[in-house]
Amino acid sequence: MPPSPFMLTSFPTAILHVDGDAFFASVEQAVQPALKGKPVVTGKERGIIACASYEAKALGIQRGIPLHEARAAHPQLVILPSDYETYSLFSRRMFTIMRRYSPLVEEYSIDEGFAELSGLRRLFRASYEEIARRLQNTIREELDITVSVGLSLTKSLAKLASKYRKPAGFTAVRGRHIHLFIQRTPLDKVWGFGPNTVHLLSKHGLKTAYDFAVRPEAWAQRLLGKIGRELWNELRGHPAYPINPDPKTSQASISKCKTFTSPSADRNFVYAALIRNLESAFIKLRRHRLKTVLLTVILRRRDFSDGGLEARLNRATASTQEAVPLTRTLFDRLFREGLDYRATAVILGRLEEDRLEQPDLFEDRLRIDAMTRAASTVDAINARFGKHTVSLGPALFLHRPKITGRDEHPWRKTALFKGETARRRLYLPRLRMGDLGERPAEHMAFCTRGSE
Amino acid sequence: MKFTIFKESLLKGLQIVQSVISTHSTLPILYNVLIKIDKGNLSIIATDLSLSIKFSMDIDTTKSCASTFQARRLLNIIRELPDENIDIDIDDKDTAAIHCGSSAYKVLGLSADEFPPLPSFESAGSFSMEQATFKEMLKKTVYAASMDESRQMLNGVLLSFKDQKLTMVATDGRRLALIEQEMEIPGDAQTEVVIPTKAVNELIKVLGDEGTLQIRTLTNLASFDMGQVLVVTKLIDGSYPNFRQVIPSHCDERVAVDRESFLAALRRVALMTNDKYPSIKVSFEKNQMNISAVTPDVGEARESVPIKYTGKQITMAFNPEFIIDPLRNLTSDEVNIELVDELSPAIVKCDIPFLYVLMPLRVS
Repeated sequence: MPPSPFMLTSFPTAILHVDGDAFFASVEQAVQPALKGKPVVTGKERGIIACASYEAKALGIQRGIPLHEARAAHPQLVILPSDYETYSLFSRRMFTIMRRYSPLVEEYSIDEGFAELSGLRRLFRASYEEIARRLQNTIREELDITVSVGLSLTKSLAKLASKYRKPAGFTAVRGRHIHLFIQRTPLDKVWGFGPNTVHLLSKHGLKTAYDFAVRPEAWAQRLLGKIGRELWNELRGHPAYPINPDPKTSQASISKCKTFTSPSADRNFVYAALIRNLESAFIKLRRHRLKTVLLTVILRRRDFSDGGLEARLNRATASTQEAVPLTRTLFDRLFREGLDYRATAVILGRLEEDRLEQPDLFEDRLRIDAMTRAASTVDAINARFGKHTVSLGPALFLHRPKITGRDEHPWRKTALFKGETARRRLYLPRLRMGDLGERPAEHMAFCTRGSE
Repeated sequence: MKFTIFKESLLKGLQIVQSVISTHSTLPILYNVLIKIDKGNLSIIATDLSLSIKFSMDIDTTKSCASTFQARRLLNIIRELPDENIDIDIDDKDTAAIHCGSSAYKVLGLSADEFPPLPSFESAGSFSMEQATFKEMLKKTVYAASMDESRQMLNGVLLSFKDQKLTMVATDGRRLALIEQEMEIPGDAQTEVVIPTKAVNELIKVLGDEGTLQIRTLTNLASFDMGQVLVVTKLIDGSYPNFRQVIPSHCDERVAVDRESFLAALRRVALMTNDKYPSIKVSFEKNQMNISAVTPDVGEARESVPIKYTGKQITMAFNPEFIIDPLRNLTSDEVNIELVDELSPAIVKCDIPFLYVLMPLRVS
């Protein structure tokens, strides 16, 4: 083998990337063992597939395709509503296991994270590969889900490695093997290279990550700027991105998006759904003691095309009512009669802390004070009697005429432990035993209704 | 045609007009200055369509011509030339041949026909006042104007020519600066105009310390004629908010404080604030004012300043920048602060007809 052009050592730094395999579907299979080996998809409430198990992927089913298409092609598909509570509990436990091995863990998303293993060999009396395998096995044994693991010198390489073999894969790329590994990596697989960058690089005759890494550093810098230089180093095994163990502290924006049970062309209903999102977003805003000045309204049509408008409020505020007139204006400009809408979304941007308020000389102070008091009173009532018990008038149009399959709650929401209520829950996943027969979803819905 | 001009004169003219030229423009001609010679008078004009500046001077020639050249390039050429007479020859094809000492340039220009013409103010009402007075008034108000593009109407200074006085007002909604000056205003010439902040800043630069100024207004334009320099600006369209209504009509307490020591103390305390938490606390006590800042993740600062005060104790929170601004732009030794309570606006006054209304912060 010719000597490595990049590095002669194995692991001057060791970074691990852990990536859940079809995470949501795997979690469902873990808490409902009867679903193991069956094609499971989640996202029932949204009408499109959020996550497909490997059995479903084998049937050619992918994330994002509409459920009715998938169901028509594969009637045996098990379609479940998303149970985010259980997914996030599994996520938290997965990171807890990772922290048993290394204190430096970055939670990158709900189902993937990085751990810095450098210097841990003596502690565990094992090689980095052995530590990584133990970690992977621990997750499988304790959580009954599989993860794919990539071990290398930098975050970018580790992420590439974990994607290399899936599911339950293990790929270690040593320093002296980097050049062999990235020769097999097309440019578009590199974390940070989007379609535009790939187009640009292919114009320069580059095909693989290796082609990029063998160019001079100054060339990467000149063509792609800071990102180019950082990725160039990362791909050669020199860490440019440190592991960041801090959870996100400040929020840049708050968004609330909800898909309707079935698409609607009813102006009042779509507006009511939008106002409900606005209320939910402002509830979150006030809970985090923030205020906002930038409001974005998005209406998504049945064909998934979006119409969105952004506008500034007159002043930073945390009271829902101050944002209603602007929301109405944006809605009226976006809404087209005769079109079917499937979702609405509200995004609150330019958040600032709600500790200081600079009043305005020309504003109507009494009105603002009244609206602020109304918001905190509504919060107090709803804290006691449940979210949206008291809400803005348009909510009257949020009628739910018929219960459809999409309205089905995740099983965990109906299978409560003794003493739990819909709002007060023990944060524990619940295991569901027993064979569910041929049509598990239907059967499940039946037995939970019957048990209530 | 040919003419000769001394370097310093031409450089001065170019420097005065070129600051109008915007760095991003869709019309290439707006990057140029118009050079016009007519009956022994040379004028240099630059515009961004909203604001135009014209610089004129006499030169020794009887012919006339007009052409435009890229402002920045022309300025750079003239700046680098030696301090001598410059010979300039502009031909019919808008090419200027510039000779000075051993240097020779040929600069390609664009036709003057494309250059937007300066509007005419022949039918306009006119006011006259001292340049120095006008400049001082602008300086004492413009900092309070809003920078917020969503409040267009406040992005300038209001000039109200009414009741035998000129009243200037600027506000961003959080504070308001007002200054008045008595002047002769004929009954039929009463008017109110809002001058954009960019024009105000240019005016402050070109207004001199002596000489008079002619102000002419049309419905959407105003011109400021200083003799050698003429500034023409579009006005901000719309109705200015009723500023008289937000000036408190009474006050409960009055504080007298030495301006310089107050300003210095504020500056020192403001060092311990940041953008996320721009707040200082000012506490008025018997013959003493305590200024403090407590900023999360930054630290604390405290100062006390002697004042003349015997009223009740009042503690208010302010954005430090908003209270430093007027103090920095005033010149009197002592300022008076009028107060009602913690949450009502405070007023800064001094020995001239000046008034500054400041809305305190609410801290929760």
